[in-house]
Amino acid sequence: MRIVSPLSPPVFHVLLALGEDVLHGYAIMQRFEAITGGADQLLPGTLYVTLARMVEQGLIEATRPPAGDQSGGAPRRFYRLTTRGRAAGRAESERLRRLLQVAEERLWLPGIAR
Amino acid sequence: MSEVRAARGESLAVLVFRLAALALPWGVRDEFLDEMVVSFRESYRLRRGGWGRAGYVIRAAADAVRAGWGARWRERNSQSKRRPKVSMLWQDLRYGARTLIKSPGFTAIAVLTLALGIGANAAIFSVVDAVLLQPLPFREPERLVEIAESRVDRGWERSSMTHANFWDLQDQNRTFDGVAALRGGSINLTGRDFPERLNLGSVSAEFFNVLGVTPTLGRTFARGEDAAGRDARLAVLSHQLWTRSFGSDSAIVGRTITLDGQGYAVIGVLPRGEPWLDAADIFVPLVRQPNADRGSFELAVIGRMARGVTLAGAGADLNGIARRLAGLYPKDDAGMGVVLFPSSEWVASESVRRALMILMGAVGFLLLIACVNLANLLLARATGRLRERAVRAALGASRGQLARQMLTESLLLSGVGAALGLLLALGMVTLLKAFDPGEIPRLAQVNLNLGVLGFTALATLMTGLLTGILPAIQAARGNLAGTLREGERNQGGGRFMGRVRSLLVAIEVAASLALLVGAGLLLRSFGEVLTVSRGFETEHRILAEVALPESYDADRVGRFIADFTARVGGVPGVISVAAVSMRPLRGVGTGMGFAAADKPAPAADAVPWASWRLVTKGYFRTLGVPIVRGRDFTEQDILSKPWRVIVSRRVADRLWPNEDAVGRQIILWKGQSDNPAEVIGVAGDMRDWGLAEDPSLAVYFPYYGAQFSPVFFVVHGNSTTEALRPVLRQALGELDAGLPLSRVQSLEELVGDSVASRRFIMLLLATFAAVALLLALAGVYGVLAYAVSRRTSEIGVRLALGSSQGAVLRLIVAQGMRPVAIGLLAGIGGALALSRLMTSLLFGITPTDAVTYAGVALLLGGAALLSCYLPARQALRVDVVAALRKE
Repeated sequence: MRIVSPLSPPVFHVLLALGEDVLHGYAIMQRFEAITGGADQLLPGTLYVTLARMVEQGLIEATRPPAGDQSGGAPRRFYRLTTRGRAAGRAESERLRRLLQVAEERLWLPGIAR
Repeated sequence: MSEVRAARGESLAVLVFRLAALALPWGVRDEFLDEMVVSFRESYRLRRGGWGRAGYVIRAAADAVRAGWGARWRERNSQSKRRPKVSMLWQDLRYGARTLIKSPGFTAIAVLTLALGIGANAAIFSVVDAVLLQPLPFREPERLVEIAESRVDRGWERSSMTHANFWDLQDQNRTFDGVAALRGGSINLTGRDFPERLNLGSVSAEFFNVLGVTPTLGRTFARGEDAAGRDARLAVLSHQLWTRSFGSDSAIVGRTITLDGQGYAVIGVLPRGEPWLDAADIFVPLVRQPNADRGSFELAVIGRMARGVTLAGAGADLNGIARRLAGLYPKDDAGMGVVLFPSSEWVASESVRRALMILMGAVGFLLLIACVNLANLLLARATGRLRERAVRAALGASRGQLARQMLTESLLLSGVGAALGLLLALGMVTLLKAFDPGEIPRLAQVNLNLGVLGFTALATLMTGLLTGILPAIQAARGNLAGTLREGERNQGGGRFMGRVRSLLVAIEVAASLALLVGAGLLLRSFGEVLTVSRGFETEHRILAEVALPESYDADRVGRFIADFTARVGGVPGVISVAAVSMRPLRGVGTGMGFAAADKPAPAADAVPWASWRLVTKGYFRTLGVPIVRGRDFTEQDILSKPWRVIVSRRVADRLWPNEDAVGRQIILWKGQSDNPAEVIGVAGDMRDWGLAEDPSLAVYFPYYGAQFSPVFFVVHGNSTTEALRPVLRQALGELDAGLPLSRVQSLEELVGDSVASRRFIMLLLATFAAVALLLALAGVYGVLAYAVSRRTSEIGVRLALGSSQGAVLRLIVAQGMRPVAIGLLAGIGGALALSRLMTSLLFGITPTDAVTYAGVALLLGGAALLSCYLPARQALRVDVVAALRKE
């Protein structure tokens, strides 16, 4: 399946939150909120629609829970990046970096240097 | 309590989210819904504060809807395969929605009709749920009972308990984990900005433990704190008092407050709740008196049965003790028995229960009428859409599919109707609370909770099925190919469907007649109550209560009453002032047995019972009550033996029929202390126990020389009662600034309050009946107008062939009125059967009151005639030539 570029924000956010870890949906929500310092959040509706789509597109894959998982409770699906997902994340980051460079030249972002 | 609220908030939040999640594509929901809800719930719990949580719920719900629509849009674009079953339902729904949107007038009427029916049901059910179905706020309430005394020999079935009998039951029973008592009273709270009169509950130490209540703050009384000789100046605040007068101060425990001039240590605050927890503003220990008496019936007693004990077992145990007490203390306890009332009967009295059931029945009828109306509309529409269905059938739709389409439409209608109905219900519940007559328990707790939503969902489903089933049957019946050939002309829906429609009209008329009769009976009763001879005047009269502290001895009470009366009586515009020991129209009071000294004593169980009051001279004049014989009290009539009393006319007639009662000896507290008294006067009868009660049997003592508080002052002025209020306040302030003046009310207001719950139920039922009437009329009109429009050409032919306009008019009206007449007859039969259930709510009329039945039948019949006449007139305007050309 073709991946639409640029990636939609939720897809990119999930990629960022997941990183190289194995996480379930709720943990992805929490992680994302933590890395943005609470400024941005993933809401459950968007999250699970996005997860379903990303699995379909081969960006992430469902996997077994990591050893020593203590979350307990109802069974949950865990996810990790696929090679394809990692590539898509890298490409998107590269694209954003180019855009940020332009923004910097326009003096919109004086503080952000290389 | 706050955990309960938090849990409710959370389940509501989850419900909202789940509803929003319906927007998600089926595949996503199927796979992820559970996990999604768990994630939602956990995130929800991380938010703090009501606003934070509410904001999160809204954002998450909106996001789910957005994500759902986005996903659906992508799905459709990518042409991915869908599940056939779901897509078919979806297709039906979309088709149904499109057809409904295409005829907005019909849809609006249908939705509104259903919203009224469903909304009224949801609102009344929410009241029933709060009043009758919600559990009591106590631990294991099924083990709790109320314990009352009975005196079979005196004909008392349920009486408060005397102190000594209570302590004996508490000590000797073997079937209870605990037994406790409450005595009502009142007390002055002072030492703050202004004095306040509080309802006081004196409770034995175990009272709150027996109920199984956890205090909101501090503790409740501990075992032994009611022992004789203990310093019992401890107070537990009701939740209401704590919030109202102490600003919910969380540091209140340990503080000292002043009650009737004495310091009391606050040890705890109760949670909110009914009953018992709101029985008083403030609770103090009921100190056990070593020589408690068996003569005054003051205590309300509750008990927690031991595990495994049945009601019958506990009753047998207590009655055994009662028999022993009767043997030990024959003078006071002869004939003593004990009756138990399970806690399930605590909240709602029999009359409230009855009224609610009647209201529930009424809204049930209303919904039935709404359903019938809509079924009729749908049928008519379905007949008009025969051609459309024929086309669909020709294109390959099966009969089942056609029927399902009709059902889907009616379910869709009732769903939208229910959504609107819930909004209506919300408004109705707010109105109900605003009109609270004060006698419906737990009304403040009424809300549209999950139970109510569930009930509404069920009612909606039933409504959808009921309204849709006939059109669905019709859709599956019939010769579709023939229809396609002939077109729509002459399709009146066939003889069978015509009959079905008539039957529906008859049902509708019958149901609304029954409702109208119910409302009419209550309306007539209310009129009777208001116009019944009260025996006293209310105009320009005001009543105020002054509670005197215990430091006022009999002398000081007498001086206070005399000073206050003189001061107020001297104000220009005041005609007369008097004092009385008990306010009228309260429905409770003090009582005693009585008999004539000069007649043979009646059997112990035939001793009549009279209420008693202390009054000052001029009391009867102030209330406009005549002294029919003898004289009024004077200041020289001191309350001391031998007693001199005034009796009401009924007492005099009862003891000395056709004889003069003045100068006779009457025995008071007959069967107890047997006190003789001389009758010096006979006063007119008053309905002072309640307007719907018989005039009371009453005995009046002089207030002079009595130490009896609180004192009620009645003032008769020659202008509005508003002008009297400041006069009273000023006079009291001058005499003793530390005394509170409470419950200042005009007698008109008092009368209004005493009939408030009657008026409340009457208004509700009348509203429902009016809506039902409108719906039924709309139904009759709709069916006939439709039938006429279908028969245009027939009418044209009749007119062309020489029928007179009058004959055609008569024909059509007669046809329309036939089902109405059948419905009226059936309705009268039904109402005769059902109205018997209302007997206890009626006053002055019987449930078969002919005036009501005739009036209602005339009203309904006349209105139906009008709704027949209008379409019939329309029919006569038929253009004969055009009609014939069509033929």
